Amino acid sequence: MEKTPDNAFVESVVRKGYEHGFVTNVESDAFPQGISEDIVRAISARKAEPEWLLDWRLKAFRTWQKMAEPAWAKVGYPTIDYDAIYYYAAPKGPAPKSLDEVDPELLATFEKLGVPLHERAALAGVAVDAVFDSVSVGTTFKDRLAEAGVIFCSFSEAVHNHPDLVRKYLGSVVPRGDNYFAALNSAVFSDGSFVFIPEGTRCPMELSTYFRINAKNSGQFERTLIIAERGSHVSYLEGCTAPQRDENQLHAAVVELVAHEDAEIKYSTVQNWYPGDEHGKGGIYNFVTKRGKCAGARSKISWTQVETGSSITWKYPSCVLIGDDSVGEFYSIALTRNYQQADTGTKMVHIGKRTRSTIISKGISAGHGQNTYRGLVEIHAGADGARNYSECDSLLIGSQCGAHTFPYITCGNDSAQIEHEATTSKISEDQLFYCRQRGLSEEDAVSLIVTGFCKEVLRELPMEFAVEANKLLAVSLEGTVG
Amino acid sequence: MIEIKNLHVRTEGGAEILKGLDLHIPAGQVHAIMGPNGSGKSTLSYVLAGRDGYEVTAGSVLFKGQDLLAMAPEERAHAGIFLGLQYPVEIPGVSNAYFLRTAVNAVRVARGQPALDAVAFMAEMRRAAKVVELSTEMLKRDVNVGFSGGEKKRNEILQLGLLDPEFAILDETDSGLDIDALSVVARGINAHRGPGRSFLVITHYQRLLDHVRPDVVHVLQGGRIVKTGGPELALELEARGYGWVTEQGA
Amino acid sequence: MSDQPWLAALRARAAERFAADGWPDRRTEHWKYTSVAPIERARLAPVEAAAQRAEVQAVRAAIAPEAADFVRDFSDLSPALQAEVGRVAALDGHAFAARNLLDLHDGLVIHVPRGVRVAAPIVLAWGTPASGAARPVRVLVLAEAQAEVTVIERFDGDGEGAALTNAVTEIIARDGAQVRYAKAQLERDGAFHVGRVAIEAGRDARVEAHLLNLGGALARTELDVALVAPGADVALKGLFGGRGARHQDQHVTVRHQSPRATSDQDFRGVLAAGARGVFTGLVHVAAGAHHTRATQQNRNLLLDAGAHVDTRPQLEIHNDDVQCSHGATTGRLDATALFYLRSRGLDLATARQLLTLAFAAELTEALPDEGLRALALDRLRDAISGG
Repeated sequence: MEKTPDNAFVESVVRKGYEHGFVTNVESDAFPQGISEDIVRAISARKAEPEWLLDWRLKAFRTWQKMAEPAWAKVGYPTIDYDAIYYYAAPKGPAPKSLDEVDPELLATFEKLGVPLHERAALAGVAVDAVFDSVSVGTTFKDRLAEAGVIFCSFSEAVHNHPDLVRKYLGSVVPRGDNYFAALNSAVFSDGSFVFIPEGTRCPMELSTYFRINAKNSGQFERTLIIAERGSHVSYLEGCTAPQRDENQLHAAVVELVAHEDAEIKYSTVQNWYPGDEHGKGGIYNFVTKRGKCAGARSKISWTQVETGSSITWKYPSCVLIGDDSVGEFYSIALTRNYQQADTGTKMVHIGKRTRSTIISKGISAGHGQNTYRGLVEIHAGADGARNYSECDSLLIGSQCGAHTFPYITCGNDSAQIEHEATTSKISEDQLFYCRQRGLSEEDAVSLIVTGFCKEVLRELPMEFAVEANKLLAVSLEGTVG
Repeated sequence: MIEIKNLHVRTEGGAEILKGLDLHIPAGQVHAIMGPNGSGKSTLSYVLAGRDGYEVTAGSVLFKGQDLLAMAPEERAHAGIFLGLQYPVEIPGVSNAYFLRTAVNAVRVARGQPALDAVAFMAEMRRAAKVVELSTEMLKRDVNVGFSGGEKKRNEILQLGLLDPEFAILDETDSGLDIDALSVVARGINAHRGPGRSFLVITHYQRLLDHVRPDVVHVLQGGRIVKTGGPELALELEARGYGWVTEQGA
Repeated sequence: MSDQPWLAALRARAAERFAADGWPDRRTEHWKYTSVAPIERARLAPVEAAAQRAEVQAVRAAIAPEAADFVRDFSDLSPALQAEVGRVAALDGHAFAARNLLDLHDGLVIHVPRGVRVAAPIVLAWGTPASGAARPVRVLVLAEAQAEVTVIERFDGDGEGAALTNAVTEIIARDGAQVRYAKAQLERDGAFHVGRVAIEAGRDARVEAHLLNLGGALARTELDVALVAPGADVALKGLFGGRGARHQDQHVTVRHQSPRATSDQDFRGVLAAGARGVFTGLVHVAAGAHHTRATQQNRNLLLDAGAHVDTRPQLEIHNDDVQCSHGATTGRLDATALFYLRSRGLDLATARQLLTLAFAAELTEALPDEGLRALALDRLRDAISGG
């Protein structure tokens, strides 16, 4: 009764599996392979950084040297040779001063990725910072944002144009020695995005950074810092892709968010780094530290992520809820297939009174994919009336995959209320049959059921991204059945 | 329309449920199958629709001359088989309207008809929903999630109307319905009767047949058709129970 | 009297293991929330061989006469039974289990032959350890195919001073056997208790294990379950907590190694005034264990501001044909329910007691022994009222 897909079909699935696998031919200006104090100094010098920042990087580097790579996550990979990585790679030539000066080849690349940088062609209502390997190549709608007082620029620009803000907030949420990968990033980060929303301002557009790794054997170490002043509001989107290569590449980013009193930051990610091929060859190692601080009363930070890419995902976007009545949210879809491994989740640290957090995690494993939810809910003694609700559901497609759920719940306050629920099951035979009886192919039926399974998370995404994420899920599910 | 010969079926690794079932339903006719619990009624409907978990050990099923048993469930749907389930399945997170449109267009494309665009489909759906008195509110909700028993069954008949099958199997569509819901469902079924469409109505009770008058009534017992008659057979069964058939057959 | 050669051989292996591992520390994931430093600091001395043998005989003598025939000590084991001691409770990564064997000179084996049903519960009432003593306790329950038995172990709380009970119980339920087991840890306030209950369930075997972890200053019980054949069914029910400086740790690992097996866990904590509760529960489903059904529940009630709980319900699943779920909740008594009872005339203390006992009722009512139920309820009332 089962259909056996013919070869042409299999091929189309494999080929269609990753549509952003092309390489852009630009001349790259890269530092020698490997990591050392000299490389850290060279990166800082290339960016003409102030002394304090070089100092900060060097301290991070020395801390990193003393640290050991964490082994607790449920992921397996060969030892990373940190001396075989290029820590800085950028398109050759002087940095463009405006979008008009950007190499047409680069513009074409982002165009091809669906992120046109010409403001005429750009998505209305979305400002984009485009990061290519180690540098930002351009930011759209800067002027319009400036009118509202919003600063949206590359991290390097911010270091020069807004040094006080950078100095005040850099490392204030993720200290430079926070963990192995954060320390590495702090030493060698090359660029990223910087956002500042002034008091009482509702950011007039969605802000977005599109990360593209292009150069071979290079790592990408970007840093994002978003500051929302009292009573402000911003929605930020992040997208990522990389070429299809046989070698693994390292991506170790740090994202810091600060929400002051009554401010709200919504951070959405559609992560589609190259996941490796159907035999598990190649793919991005994605080791990312993302954390938000709800510093002020009634502030809110909401993380939404759709993780379909990378051969290894290691990330736990977290909220430290300091302000009374502050709110943290984490909505996640993680899909692993072929030989992908994901160990992802969140930390919700409740410190302020009546702080509330919600965790909705949907894991889908297919093929030989391994998917782990790992999360911490920590209620401090002073967090009177704190609330947490967590729901972690896993869906398994095929007998070779794995789904794992590791929540850690710590409660030191008797007035707190914590609820955690998790289920793991295979995709329902009843649902599959019902859909097929109504004429849907098995693959379409799986795609429909999985989309329904993920709906609670998908509806948290801004519209433009929700459509993208839906398509991504459907493409990622192709070839998982039959 | 459909020709079932000497059908033997057992559950995967389990007991034989159908033991040489023969059934012929010509185009345009409504046949009812009645029988006690465990007689194999639901198994028959699942085997015709192609559900996993059943093993056909002997016999054949021809649908418009095609070998039905060789086809995948969706291919049977495309060919014109519809099964209204006794317990319609919930699909959380998927709106009824989206599900219906996906299904209708999958079937249309497979039949060589153009897919309906959103506007054309909505008009179709509203028309079909009216027949079974389903509100547009129900169309926006997730498939069968939070539907009452009656709403689920009306939703099945709505799908029957939209998917335009040539052969519809209705498995205990009357179970769990109050009299009002029953008459709505029955009206829905009757609205879809026609010369090109055959029905197999599976039921435990005679009351649905008061509303949907069958051409032929069969009694299924012990995995075989043990008696066949006209609509009056249903009344007789209601009055005298299934034991009477067994005694007669013995 | 010197030890049996088979026991000496076990001890030698344990010595090696303990020398290699040493005491666990909190950097070990399994001991993240429980520090054994207070036990190390107390410098307790292992109980002498003669005293151990005397205690084993005393416990054996108190067993109901109609059940006593099924219980033997270590001097009286067939080679087949000798080979079962220490088989299920593996030593890898279990320093306390190694330490138990290292200090061990005698223990009890309950062996129920094929098809035999032991009607009376076998109650093992372990006395209280002397001040300054580290006492190993070892029990093996072997229910042959289709056998039925109920075993209750009690660790009561008389005496005073620091002491450690290090108890290892192995339960083997062969094909179709039915074992009910309860362990009541009600040790005195100054005592440490580290225990391990290792269960192996065979084809269509049913094991029900109850854990009352309600005494001691620092107590941890590990429940390790292996479902090794199709149709095995294991239910674990645990009640833990108390009032004051108590640390109660329950560490559960359930391994589904075979298809069509079922496991259920229901653990509830009631904590007040400085008490700390820890629950870790892992359900591991191996690649071939199709049609697995597993549930896991941990509910915690914090009675006042000094209570603390850490909970880690975990699922690790390596095949798709499963139905697994877990849930954990932590909170205080429901304010609406309290108000409702008070509006019906109950005073606050009575209302609190009623709701707390109700929270635990499903577990206390399922206990296989009336006396045990009374003890559990007493302890709970103490925790609630501060008595």
